[in-house]
Amino acid sequence: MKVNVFIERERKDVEIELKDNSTVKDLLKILKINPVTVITTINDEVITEDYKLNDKDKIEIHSVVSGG
Amino acid sequence: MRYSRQEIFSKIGKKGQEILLDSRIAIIGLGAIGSVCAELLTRAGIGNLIIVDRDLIELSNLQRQSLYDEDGVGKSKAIQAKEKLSKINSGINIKAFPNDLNFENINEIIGKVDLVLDCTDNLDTRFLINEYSLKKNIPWIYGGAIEDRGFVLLIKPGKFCFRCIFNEASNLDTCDTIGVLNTITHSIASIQVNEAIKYLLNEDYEGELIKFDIWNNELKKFKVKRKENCLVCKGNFEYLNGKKGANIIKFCSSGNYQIRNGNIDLNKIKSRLINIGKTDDLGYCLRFNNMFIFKDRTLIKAKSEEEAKSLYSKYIGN
Repeated sequence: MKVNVFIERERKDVEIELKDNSTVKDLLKILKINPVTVITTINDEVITEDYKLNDKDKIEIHSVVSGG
Repeated sequence: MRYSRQEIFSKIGKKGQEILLDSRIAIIGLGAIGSVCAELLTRAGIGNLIIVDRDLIELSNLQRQSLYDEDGVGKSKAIQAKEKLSKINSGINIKAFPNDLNFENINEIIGKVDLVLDCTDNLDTRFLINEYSLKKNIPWIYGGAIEDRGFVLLIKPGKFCFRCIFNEASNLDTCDTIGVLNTITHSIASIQVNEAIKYLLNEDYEGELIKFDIWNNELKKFKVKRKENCLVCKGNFEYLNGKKGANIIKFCSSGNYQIRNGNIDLNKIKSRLINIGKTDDLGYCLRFNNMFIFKDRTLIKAKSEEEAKSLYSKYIGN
């Protein structure tokens, strides 16, 4: 399956091919992104690492913001 | 007269203003976001404010921390803020704490308030506030900013908690390593205060994670759900019990502090620090200013534990 990913930090869209039943964790591993440093969303909802992705999903990856 | 512009605003009114004057808010952190929150809440007539910050004012703060000026450099943010805020509005009560908020003093400092505003610069303190909020059933508002973007989220105990979204993470980017615009910190503070006022007045506050990117003028909102296996929601309060948090030890003889890093990526830290100052790679560790950064710990020469923690948050990030 293929998913569309918007990486906010780089402001770029990428298409990633994944095996069926892949999770957010699998996707982040392919993108070499440490899961604890980002918030992942789909359809304007925050999702967890174990969320199972579907074909054509549109995912956004936002960096965790700690500064204040 | 002082609050006339809010009293004639239909969503607040005279009754609403009375509620605000009766309210009690704790602001944790008085940096770029916290100092603006404190000023807005003071001017809006929140009757009781508790303000907390462990840091001293630095020249590099003045670009965005509009409560302070050059005369305050080197002085306590909490004390300077109280002095300025009292001149802005002498009719409210302000308690200032120039302290590092930790599991031992959080109950004494925050006590019973209507709302906590998180304006800190690190996740550890947020995890502590989160657990305190759950234990005491006090809502709080997370606010954070970096570069040109930031987040705001009002967390009401019972729905979901901060740990349903945020995990423990070391060496995150910080404002000291990749910068921040004063326009985003002021914007995030404004959104945070707006949500605080709406919550206090029982108006429909925003229950979603708000993200604002000021460079691209993009505001987004994300729904948040409780994480099924969230241990903190189940009452496992490791930060509030002192089992977790900044692990800091003072080496009396040298004036050094040691802070445990977890397991950081030295190459990543090096690539960030090299842009902001002289960074020596000694092979087994990095030397940056008064800091020796190892994979598992950082040694920091500092005058106090507060200063050591502050330097750590700024340059290593937690």
